[in-house]
Amino acid sequence: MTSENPLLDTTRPPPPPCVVVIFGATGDLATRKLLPALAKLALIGELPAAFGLVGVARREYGDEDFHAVVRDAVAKYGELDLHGERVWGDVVREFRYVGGDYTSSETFERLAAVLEEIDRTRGTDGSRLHYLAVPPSLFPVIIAGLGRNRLNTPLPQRQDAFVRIVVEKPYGQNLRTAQDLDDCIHRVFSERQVYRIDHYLGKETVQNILALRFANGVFEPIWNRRYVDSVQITVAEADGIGDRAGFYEQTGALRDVVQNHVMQILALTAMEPPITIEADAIRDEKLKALRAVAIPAVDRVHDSVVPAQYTEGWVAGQRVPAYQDEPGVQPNSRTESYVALLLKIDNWRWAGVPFYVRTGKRLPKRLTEVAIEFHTAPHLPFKPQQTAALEPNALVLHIQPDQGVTLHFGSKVPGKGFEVRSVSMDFHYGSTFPGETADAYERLLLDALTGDSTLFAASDEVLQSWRLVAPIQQAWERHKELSQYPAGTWGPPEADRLLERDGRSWRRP
Amino acid sequence: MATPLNRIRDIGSWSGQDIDATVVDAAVKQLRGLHGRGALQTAVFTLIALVDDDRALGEYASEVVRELCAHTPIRALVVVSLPASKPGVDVRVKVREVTRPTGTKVCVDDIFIQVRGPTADHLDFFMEPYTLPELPVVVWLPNRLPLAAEPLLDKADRVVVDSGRILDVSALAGLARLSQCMPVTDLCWVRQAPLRQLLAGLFMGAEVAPFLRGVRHVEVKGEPGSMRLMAGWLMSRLRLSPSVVHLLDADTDSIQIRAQHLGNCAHFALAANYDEGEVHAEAGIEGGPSYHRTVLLTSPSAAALIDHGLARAGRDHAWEGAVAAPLRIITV
Repeated sequence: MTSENPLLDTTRPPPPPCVVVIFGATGDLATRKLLPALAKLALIGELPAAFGLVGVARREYGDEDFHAVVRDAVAKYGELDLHGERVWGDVVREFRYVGGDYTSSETFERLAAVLEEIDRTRGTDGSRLHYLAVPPSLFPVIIAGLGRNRLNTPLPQRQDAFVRIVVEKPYGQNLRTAQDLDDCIHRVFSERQVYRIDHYLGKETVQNILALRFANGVFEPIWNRRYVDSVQITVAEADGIGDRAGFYEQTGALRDVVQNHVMQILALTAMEPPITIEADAIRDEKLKALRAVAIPAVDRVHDSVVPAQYTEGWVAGQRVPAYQDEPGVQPNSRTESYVALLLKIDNWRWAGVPFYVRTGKRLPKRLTEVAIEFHTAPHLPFKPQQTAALEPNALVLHIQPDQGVTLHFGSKVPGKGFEVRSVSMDFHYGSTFPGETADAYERLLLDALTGDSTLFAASDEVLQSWRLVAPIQQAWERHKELSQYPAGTWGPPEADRLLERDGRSWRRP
Repeated sequence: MATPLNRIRDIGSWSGQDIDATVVDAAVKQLRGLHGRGALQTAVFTLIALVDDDRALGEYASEVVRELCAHTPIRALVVVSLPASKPGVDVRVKVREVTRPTGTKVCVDDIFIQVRGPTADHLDFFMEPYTLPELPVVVWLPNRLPLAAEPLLDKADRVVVDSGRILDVSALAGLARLSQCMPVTDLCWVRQAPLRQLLAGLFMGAEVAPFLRGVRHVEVKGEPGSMRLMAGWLMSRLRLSPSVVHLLDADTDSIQIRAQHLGNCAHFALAANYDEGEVHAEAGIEGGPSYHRTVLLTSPSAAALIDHGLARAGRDHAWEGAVAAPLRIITV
């Protein structure tokens, strides 16, 4: 369609006309994240001129009630000033609302009628982006409803139109439920229509892993077992579970973070160079990397995985309760708030290089980073005391909160003597490129509207991630040795021993 | 969506006469040594703002460069060229601490150089030692277009101009020719980008796109330079005959397009309201769909425009077509 419009800037064409349909439009995700992101996109001119939004939810609201919900959500969670809110108010007036039970065909019939009307009056061409901002238990019923009412494909006469669906995580609770969900989706939508969102992948620095690795000649030649000793991935949160006890008790750190965020970061770190930077090429390489990750035997899981739960402690100068004393948590809960694991990648590039992963809540600070630790120099022509303060070289990719790259290397301490000490060279994105970075949801919504699936997980990737954690889940169902760590520390001693037995230690971020 | 401001603090200053780049570099390092983060310096290019004999313009360029340095990691130099004056070189250096809204502190330098006498005719040689090695050199001409023989451009990888401030049409032809040899960033073009994107977006969609092939009337209003660039863009992209395009002087930018397709008429309009800080766009097909959109319109500073403009590498063929096209309008 863009080739027919010579006025378009082909380096960044805007999204084509379409209607966004948000299921769960009055819920938490929609009001906190989606609507503020859409407001921002609308006001900076990134949404199509021919655009519509239909909110769908159970509440029996009228359009004007919904407009109030949208305005309030953006006023509360958005970043608009008064001028922005006024202009957004004009945009909102055209939004529509369909209330009703998701199990009722009548709800979808009314939705179809509203969509047809918007197409006719607003020129939205029959293109739709369905966004499932509802609990996962409602995914199958909504997907089935869309299929029954032929809202899953464009009308035959609309050749350029698209219909896409965005599915939020968690994508299943285990391999079986993920497979069931996948089957359910694929009965109604083709894989090309499905956008599985992982807001982590909207982060600039995750994308910068691709740029760092594949746009520079200096890193890729040493990005392998010959030069890399080990890799550490840390996804740390200082917060506890807040008011999400109901969700977190059912999920735990393994499912909440490892199965999705960690596996995506691992895949981007370990993958081979893609042929192009297009979605399919990147997904193919990520999948190959995930397939090369050794799946642990159920009876050996305890050798390489350490689940733990925090006890009371101090974080950021505040005394915080133990996990089991958090509001909404069962006093005898066995849910892990932390997990450390050792992963191995069985391919030529990474054979013998351990990937150590840790993630948890109530750790000393919020950060996500990937540390590539290199082998030490094969021979040090110095006296031992001259290099006592020398650490192995490391390249650390910071993902949050401060995005950047740090290179640790040895340098002579100035002076008469000869002492070599580790120094670090920092590159902060914030210093070099201080402009405003798009919020993850803004970026991902825009990508879904323009049909760029690079930052969304493919079905194969998601299922492979579940295959990797499935033995851990099975082993824990039989027996879960839950370690403990005081809140405000980097994890339990058992996690330290995971590295100590290999002669290594966790980095102190 | 207001942008939080940086906090700026002076660290120290230095000045010298008839000295070379080595001495200036040493002075900058010494001043940076007074600050904890002074050793940390990231740069992505060298920017030279070249100002002719105009004190007010020199001050303006200094202000812009100061703002640019606070946001973008560059080495920036303001050079005032005075070939007719008594020979000599004056240099002023000021090092400042910028605290960004994120809390990040960076050290930035202001370097202001006045070059007098014959040296001013050989700025290509004079400025080379001041540029950072292996990084692109950008020359910004705040109020004019490059001359036919502009020595400094021999050392430049890109030139920044503002065609909106240029009234001389023949000079624009020179600019189009220069762009064949060297990438050119036109701040007027950068300033108009949101308007172009919004207008282009009005024609997206199966029902409206065919009207692009049936444009019958285009009316572009605005200030002369800006208006000509916008009209040139429409003419060159839509291959319009000059007789279709009408230009009208006005204080604010607006565009009206009327088009036909299969006997149906459609109108497309865009109007910027700089006082309100918004731009309104609308499209409608007779008896068919219609839509409108209002988006916020910021008035970016010259520093922000330079920053945005330099983010795009290489030649921009759409711009080249636009600066070439207005000539045809004028000569009709």
